[in-house]
Amino acid sequence: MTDERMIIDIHTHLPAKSGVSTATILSEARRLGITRLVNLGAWPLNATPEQVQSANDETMRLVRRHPDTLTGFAFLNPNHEKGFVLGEISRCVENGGLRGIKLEVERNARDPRLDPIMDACASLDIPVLHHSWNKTVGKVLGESSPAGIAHLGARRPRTIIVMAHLTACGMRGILDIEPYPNVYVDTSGSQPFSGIVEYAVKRLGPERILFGSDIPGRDFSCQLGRVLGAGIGARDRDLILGINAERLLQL
Amino acid sequence: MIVDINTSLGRWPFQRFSIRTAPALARHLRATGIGPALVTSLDTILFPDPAVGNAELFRAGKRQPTLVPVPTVNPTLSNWRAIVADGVDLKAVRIVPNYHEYRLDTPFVRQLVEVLAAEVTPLIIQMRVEDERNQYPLMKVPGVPVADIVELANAFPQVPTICLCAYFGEAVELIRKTENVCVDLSFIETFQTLPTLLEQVPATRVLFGSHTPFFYTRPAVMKLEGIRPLAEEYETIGQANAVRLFGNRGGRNARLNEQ
Repeated sequence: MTDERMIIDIHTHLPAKSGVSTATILSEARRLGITRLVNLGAWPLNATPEQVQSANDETMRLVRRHPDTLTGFAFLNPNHEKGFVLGEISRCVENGGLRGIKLEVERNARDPRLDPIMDACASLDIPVLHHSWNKTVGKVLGESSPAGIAHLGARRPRTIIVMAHLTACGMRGILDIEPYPNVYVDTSGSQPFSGIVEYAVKRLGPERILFGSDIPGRDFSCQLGRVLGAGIGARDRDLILGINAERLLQL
Repeated sequence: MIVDINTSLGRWPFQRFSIRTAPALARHLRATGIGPALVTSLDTILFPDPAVGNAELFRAGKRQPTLVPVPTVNPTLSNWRAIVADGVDLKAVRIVPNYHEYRLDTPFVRQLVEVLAAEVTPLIIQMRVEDERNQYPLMKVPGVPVADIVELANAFPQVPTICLCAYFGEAVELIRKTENVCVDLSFIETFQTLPTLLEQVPATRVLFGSHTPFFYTRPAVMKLEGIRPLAEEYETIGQANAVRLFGNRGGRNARLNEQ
């Protein structure tokens, strides 16, 4: 990458469970011109309250250490007691400097248990990045499909939701969220199947698409390549790669 | 110039390609920094007789010197011998076991590979074309099992066997358990893909493959760029392995031969 455009990766997981050092990941991001990473953290499936706090502590530590490169989201498990969940939002966002919430597969997006989280995020004007996948096989109990994310978006129109994994959500997923302008999508997920970025731009508009890599399980270069290789205009590409995230995260 | 060993032409019911013709494919690859490319017909996968798709592919590729058509056979059909025998300038033969519903340990496959062994013709095994998690719910087609490929490859060590669309773990296992299997890098992905892969397997067993037009082409090119500082490995994966396996087998594809 030789030009100076801003590239923000909305979907990364640090520290890497695989043992790749954070320094190596940040160095690789720099090599490819990625200027900022949104760290969603790293946690085990069905994390306990202690594990949630520990993951968020680590995210806050990394953000404090690399303020020019990292923005952090707090991970929450909606199965936990409401007071704890809302307390964690207060601890990590209001007092800890994190800028959004990450939800995974512990509770389906259709479940009303998510609503207090969504309302808190709307009040704080921060986005929620929610896992989603249109899976034929290998679905995890509680895992949300794009239709579930659309349901959530319709229920809570004041909350900005970023649906993860564009390629894995597919054309059907794009159509599911299309009616809900508060629902965005990130470009990560599955393999770099062609045509999906162009289709998302056509249906959602480029303003609702955010570049995401899902590293370290994925490769920055491959994930950037699906945006850079798509048949879209330069302005659309720049919106997807950074301008939209800058606006959403109020950077 | 990069050699791409994994491209195709044709139709696929679950994806609409922007690249639909041989000239468009050749132009697109050239614009992405790719020179010669092996190309197979998508219409050989679901249409009952692969000879039809092969014939269309060879006609379409005639005026594109950078495209190297590779026929697909279904060894459970009676016409596979004719397809192999008619394959003028045959660089390789592709099989698609999972979509054509046979296992690699069937006698049909053994007979095919014995014929390929006589001329040391490379065998290309298409392990998958889609991410199984995202397949159309009424058409779930699992990938070709690694163990089956290992058994076949070890039974015919003289036949170069190239597996397309293996995942990272599958690729490592295939290479470690055989002497004659190579993989393309289209489906292989992890953090710093090629540097990480090359910690586990030699560069001589990995080929550049983009899986165009299923995939955007740029991701594979950018994965390869990740080892640009390693000039020898870059050259080996980007070009030399393909020339060693498919070049200099005679025929009209002089550019591949002369690389």
